[in-house]
Amino acid sequence: MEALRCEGLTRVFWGKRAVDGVSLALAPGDIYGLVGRNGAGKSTLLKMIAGYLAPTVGTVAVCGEALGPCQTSRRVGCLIERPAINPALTAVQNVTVRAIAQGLPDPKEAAAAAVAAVGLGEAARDRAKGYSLGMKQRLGLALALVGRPDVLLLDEPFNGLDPEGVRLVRSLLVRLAEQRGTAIVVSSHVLDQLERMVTRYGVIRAGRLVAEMTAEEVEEACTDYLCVETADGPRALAVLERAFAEASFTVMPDDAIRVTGPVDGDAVGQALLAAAVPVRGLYTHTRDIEDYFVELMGGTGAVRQAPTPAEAAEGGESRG
Amino acid sequence: MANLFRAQWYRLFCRPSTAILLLVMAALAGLVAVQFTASWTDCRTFRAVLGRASVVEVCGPFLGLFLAAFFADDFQQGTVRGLMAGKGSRRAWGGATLALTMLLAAGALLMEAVVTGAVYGAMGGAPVAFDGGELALWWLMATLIITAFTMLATLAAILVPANPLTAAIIAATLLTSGLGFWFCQAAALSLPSPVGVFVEQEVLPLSLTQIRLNLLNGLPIEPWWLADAALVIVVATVAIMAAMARKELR
Repeated sequence: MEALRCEGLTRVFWGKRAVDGVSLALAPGDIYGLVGRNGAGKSTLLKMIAGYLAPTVGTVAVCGEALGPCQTSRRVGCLIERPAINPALTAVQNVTVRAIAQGLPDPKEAAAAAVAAVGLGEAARDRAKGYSLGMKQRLGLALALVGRPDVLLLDEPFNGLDPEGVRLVRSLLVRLAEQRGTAIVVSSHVLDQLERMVTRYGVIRAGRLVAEMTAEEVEEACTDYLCVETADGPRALAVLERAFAEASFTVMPDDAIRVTGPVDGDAVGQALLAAAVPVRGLYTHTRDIEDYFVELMGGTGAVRQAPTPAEAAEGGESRG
Repeated sequence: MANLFRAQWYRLFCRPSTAILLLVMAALAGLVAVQFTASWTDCRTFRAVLGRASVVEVCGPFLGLFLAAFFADDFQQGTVRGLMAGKGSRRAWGGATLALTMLLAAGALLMEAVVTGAVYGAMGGAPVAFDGGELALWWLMATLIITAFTMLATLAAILVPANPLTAAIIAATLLTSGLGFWFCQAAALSLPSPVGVFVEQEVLPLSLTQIRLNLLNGLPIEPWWLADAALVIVVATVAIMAAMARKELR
């Protein structure tokens, strides 16, 4: 059974589509990285899934149970936009309130366990009004985790965390997904953290889910490669294929050859020189996950405008 | 709804401010009785003593403001999200709010009455008659009035998403202090004669503030007072539930 399924989720604010026909399906244990510019609609999408905001159109089902508009579920734990904390209460009390509202049999014990899991330590007995940003974030995560939800919706979970906290939260999420089968949607701009835990990615642009790919596909797309620029592409390709059988080669539209695999740049240069193939350029092309997603998201900076007719026409296209 | 009520109750009594408020209210009731017992020689019933001690006048603003701010804080901090767990929890929030308000109002009034009575007796106040039925009716009426004011102020907090806490405090102040009533009365006077007279003589006497004044002045409690306050509570609770059903939880 799918842990989470959304069909055609759309939210219109004053005629503008903040989220436009997003459909998602997560199996138990999936960690889904939601990537997009500021204002792309990630938080709005998460709020609709959580039941905090009514979708204009679309449906949400959690573990096979269809949720009505604005219907929250005990199976869903959330940390969206900012940790919702009562500053007059301690961390344990904050989480206990949530545990009681969920109807857990032993709310205090469940709260203590959730707070311990996020590493708040001794501070868990202090009032939250004195907490730093990172501590509030940990408390927000504890609120999301209490009650062992089947689906976790996390919006920038690494916000304000120290390196130790980032590692702890990351390993906690991976453990939850692997051992308990919790399906997790993580919206974050911290791509190097996502890269270490996410099993699938979705790119959201101007409210639309424009690309979905697995972690393996992203890894492949971000692999470093050797680029050979030559005036005689076919001959260069023949030489290289003969000399480096273990490598793979792709001829780019500009006749440059992309070489991936265990190949040394010097060896390639020497092989081409020995065969008298003219070489205009030989360099290693590096593309990390950030470059890849910036390209997919369509550049940097915030977007607020409605989609242009051209964009609307290419709806759902993947540039991956 | 029971889970929501328990969660709100736990949250309320974890806050140090709740205990402080109750202590201040008890102290104030005691102080008033200490100060004025000697001058309440014309009181024939204990209800008249409670009227003289202005128990409802003290309890109403304190409790109304405190509870409205308590509920509005849920929206201000976003903690209302944490209370939503499962189908129907948005509507149940309205029911839990009503139950908590009524219980706390009834408890605080009882505490005020007990403190006033104890101090009155200790200070050697003139003997008064205890009419259990009348006192129970007074207690119910005062509870309903405070609950109605609180629910209306909470509704204001839900309807003003920009700053729920401020909205609740302003609404609670206008309602519990009687300022809203005086504003309406002043406005009615400026209306053309037949309309102004109608509002002043036929509409305003039905208001909860007027009923509160009647209660303060020791008038016999009439059934329509109870019905009036109950109607306001029902309307406010239904409006809260309806507003919560589709409200964006920020």
